[in-house]
Amino acid sequence: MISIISHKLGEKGKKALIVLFWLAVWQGASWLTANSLVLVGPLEMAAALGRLAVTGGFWQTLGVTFLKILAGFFTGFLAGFLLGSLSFACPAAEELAAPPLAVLRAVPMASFVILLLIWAGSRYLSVMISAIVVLPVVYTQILSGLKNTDPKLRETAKVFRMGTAAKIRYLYLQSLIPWILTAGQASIGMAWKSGIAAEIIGTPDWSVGGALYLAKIYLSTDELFAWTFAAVCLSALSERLFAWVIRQSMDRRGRRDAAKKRGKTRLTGNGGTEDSKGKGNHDTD
Amino acid sequence: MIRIEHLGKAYGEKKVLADLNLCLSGTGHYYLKAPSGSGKTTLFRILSGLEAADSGSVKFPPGFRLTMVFQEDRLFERFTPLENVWMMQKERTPEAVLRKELGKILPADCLDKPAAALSGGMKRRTAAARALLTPSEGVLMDEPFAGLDQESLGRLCRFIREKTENRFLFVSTHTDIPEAELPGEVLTLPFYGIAR
Repeated sequence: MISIISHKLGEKGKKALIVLFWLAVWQGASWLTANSLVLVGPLEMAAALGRLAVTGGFWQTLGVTFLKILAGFFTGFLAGFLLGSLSFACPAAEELAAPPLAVLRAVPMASFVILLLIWAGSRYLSVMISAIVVLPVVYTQILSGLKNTDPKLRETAKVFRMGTAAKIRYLYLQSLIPWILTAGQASIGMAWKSGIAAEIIGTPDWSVGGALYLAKIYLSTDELFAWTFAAVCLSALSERLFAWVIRQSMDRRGRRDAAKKRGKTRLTGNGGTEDSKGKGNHDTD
Repeated sequence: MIRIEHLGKAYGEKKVLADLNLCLSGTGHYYLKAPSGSGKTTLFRILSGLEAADSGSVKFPPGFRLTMVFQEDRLFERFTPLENVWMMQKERTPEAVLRKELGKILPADCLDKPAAALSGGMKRRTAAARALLTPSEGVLMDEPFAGLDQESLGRLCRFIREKTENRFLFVSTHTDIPEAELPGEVLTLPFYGIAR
């Protein structure tokens, strides 16, 4: 039966149907539980979300958390990118970086949260924690990506004595693009999860984690669900945003060339710019 | 003068080159006719500095730069033929000049397409253009004519002649090229195959 329905609805309709099914299961479960302290249904969550959405504090809280986690993500991303590149360029750096990175991967995030809370306070805790989570993931991806650069093209660059800047631009960055996308998509969700966990422990002002903490104290399960839903949305949004930014910078080359071509046809139509006129004169000389 | 002295190379048990001695002019043109698997690719790799010889030596004049057409095209596939040439140049040939040069062996409408979108023959010619248009004292070409039809082969020969005046040229080829198209010394080297 599902196949018949999906045939009629198409891929999007099928997905919508699946989502509706689980929403119904959730709502049904909450009716059966009949206890809004234990499990609220999607309708109650939506109501709580509506209640919160009309307050300015809701949006400010989301905005501040969003900016902090993104700041942490980009800091960790940049650090992982630079360290990964350094380790590729200099094998000694890779060996030197291995133990601290192993520590970053092995130590429970909660320990870092407590430690950083003691050292640096709660205000930028989520920034630091997001960065710490993202760094090793990006580092590994960048290092693998660089190591997987086509050895034949590397040889070509060597024989032709390609300049360093050209090598970075045409050889390494090109082969890194898929690795960068994977690194970002794998780590941005982690940045959100651990960033919010850090906020729950640090409870700084204007934080989703702080709001979740309050929801726990006041046993307002509907608000807990509402904040969670908002955080999931923001996490998905930032993932899309990242992929979009990378694709844009990837396509920049293509668009620039297209723009150049457009400019060129226009120029020839007008009889040439200063530059091409100059060249024209030169030819006739 | 380029001196190849007592050059030897083996991969495990298999000797690929043994006691090769050659004295080549630094501006000479040489064509190597040898069956595949006879070690010519290894010789190219040693000449280009990608591989070290087991014994003997290759001596180039000081500051002697080489560019190369590999057995494979080895283009930067996301980039256009123009960019594939530019990225190798310390000083970029002006666009109009480069278009004109590439136009001698490639159709004009393929110059703005990424290399990945080109046909096999176009890629081969792009690889040749990259080696010939990047400033160097010598050009190595491993089977540059593979997969080319008669017409583009003739054009490529003219282009090679034009671009290698006063440059060292070392070509390995299976294709029979008339002497008039590409004058130079044919090396039918006895050392090939001795190891087999």
